[in-house]
Amino acid sequence: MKKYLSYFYVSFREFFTYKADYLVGIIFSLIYFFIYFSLWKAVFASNGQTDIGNYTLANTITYYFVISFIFRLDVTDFIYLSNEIWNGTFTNKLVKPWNAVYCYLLIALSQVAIEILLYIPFAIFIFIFAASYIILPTLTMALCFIVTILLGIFLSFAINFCLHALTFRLGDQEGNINLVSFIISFLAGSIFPLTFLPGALKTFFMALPFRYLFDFPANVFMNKVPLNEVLIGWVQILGWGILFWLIFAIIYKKGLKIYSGTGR
Amino acid sequence: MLRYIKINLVLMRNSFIRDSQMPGYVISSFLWRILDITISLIFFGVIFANIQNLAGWNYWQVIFLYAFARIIIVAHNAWTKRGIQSMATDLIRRGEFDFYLAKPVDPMIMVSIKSPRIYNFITLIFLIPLAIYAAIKSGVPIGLDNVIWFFILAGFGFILYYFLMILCVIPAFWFIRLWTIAEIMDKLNTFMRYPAGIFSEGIKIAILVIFPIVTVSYFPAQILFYPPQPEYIVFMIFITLLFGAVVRYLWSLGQRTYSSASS
Repeated sequence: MKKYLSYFYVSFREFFTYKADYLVGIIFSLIYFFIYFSLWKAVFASNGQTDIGNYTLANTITYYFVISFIFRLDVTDFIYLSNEIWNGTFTNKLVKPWNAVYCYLLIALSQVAIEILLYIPFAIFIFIFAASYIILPTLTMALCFIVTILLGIFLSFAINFCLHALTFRLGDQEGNINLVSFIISFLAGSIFPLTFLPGALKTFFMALPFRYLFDFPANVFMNKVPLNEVLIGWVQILGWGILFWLIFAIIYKKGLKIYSGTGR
Repeated sequence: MLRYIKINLVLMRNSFIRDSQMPGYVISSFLWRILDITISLIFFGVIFANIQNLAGWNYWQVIFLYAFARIIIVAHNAWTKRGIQSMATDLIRRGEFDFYLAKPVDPMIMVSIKSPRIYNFITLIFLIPLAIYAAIKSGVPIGLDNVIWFFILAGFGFILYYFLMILCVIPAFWFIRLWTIAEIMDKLNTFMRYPAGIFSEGIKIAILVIFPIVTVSYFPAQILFYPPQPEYIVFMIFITLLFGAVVRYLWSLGQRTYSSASS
């Protein structure tokens, strides 16, 4: 346990050296919030609507506020397993006295920690800017939100590791991982609340596990999910997470047997 | 001029040969772009399911604006983006910029055209018909003068977008390890797909004048659908020339601080 804590600390220190890079990234990511803020304000104002798909303007703005935070927790760009399998540096992790998968997990978590740390002042800035539109959760729902996003991170890791492990058998997967991640983030509700979708499309999106990454936590934050449904949601996230993790474990185990460490 | 055209053709040919060896990359990159267009169309569908017009623009006008903005972005992605991005990620940090300084060509142009991705142009096969279809379906009468001024301003918009891309990576001369600046334009591109009227006055000044990313797509589209206004035309030409001069100046300033040290 101690060695993994040290690994996390060292990774954190290493990535924090380049904090300007993260800061610039965060600042320019905020652009999306302001674009959607302007866009939905114009949409709601254009014909005096008070709600769309059960969402008021305040709900919609809060949704994007929460989404901008959840993006900071998104581990998609922080997992290097595929790249390292493909270029052979994965061998370095294999020969050392630790679990290689945990290392990738800790590297990603250290970057998530940096993102959260650097995001705090910007979250306050957004909050002040859009204070009249942002709905705050009750204490119970705030706690539920924290648990939900932690479970969401677990699910995100499980899905991403599955994709990365395919590199063992299929070779370079960078393009495919980017493509699938883009699809997943859309299906998860990162572009707009899933409730805005029309009938059948909405049902389809809601049946998928990806909504637990963005849409579900945002709704929990806004007190829009009853407590019993939150609990059911947690069970489903855990179920999907364990399923994806098992799939990853199988692919990974088989992959290790064919991994040659040649590097490209 | 002729020399640059020749160099460009050679680099395009090289890109064609190189990228033909990587069908997987070409296909996934193509699918990614088509998917991006599809998702954007769904998004606009969701918005216009609730409203008749957005800041005075109807559904098809907004689709035209989106498609036109994407045409400029895709053309630059295929032609200059990778080269320009490499300034922020590799060339300065590793000292590889020396190579371009030592050549009897303009380093800024040479770096820009050095790594085209010719297959990315394929996306235009979808975007150009989409733009034409949207312009027709918009139901707005479009005269010949609108079309002529549209193409003239679109040309300026294309050049202005190039200058903005360069402007984003120029800090790399001073901040050696700041990779994120290579991705800034990808984020700012989102502004280009919406009518300027949806933004507040402060944001409008920022995106039309200070960093005129919206000017690139909005002014040409505006001139296509509405009677050509001289002030728009003068502004577009003026701002393109101004940013050209600013970018040239900053680039030469940055080039002077470049020490060729790699790390």
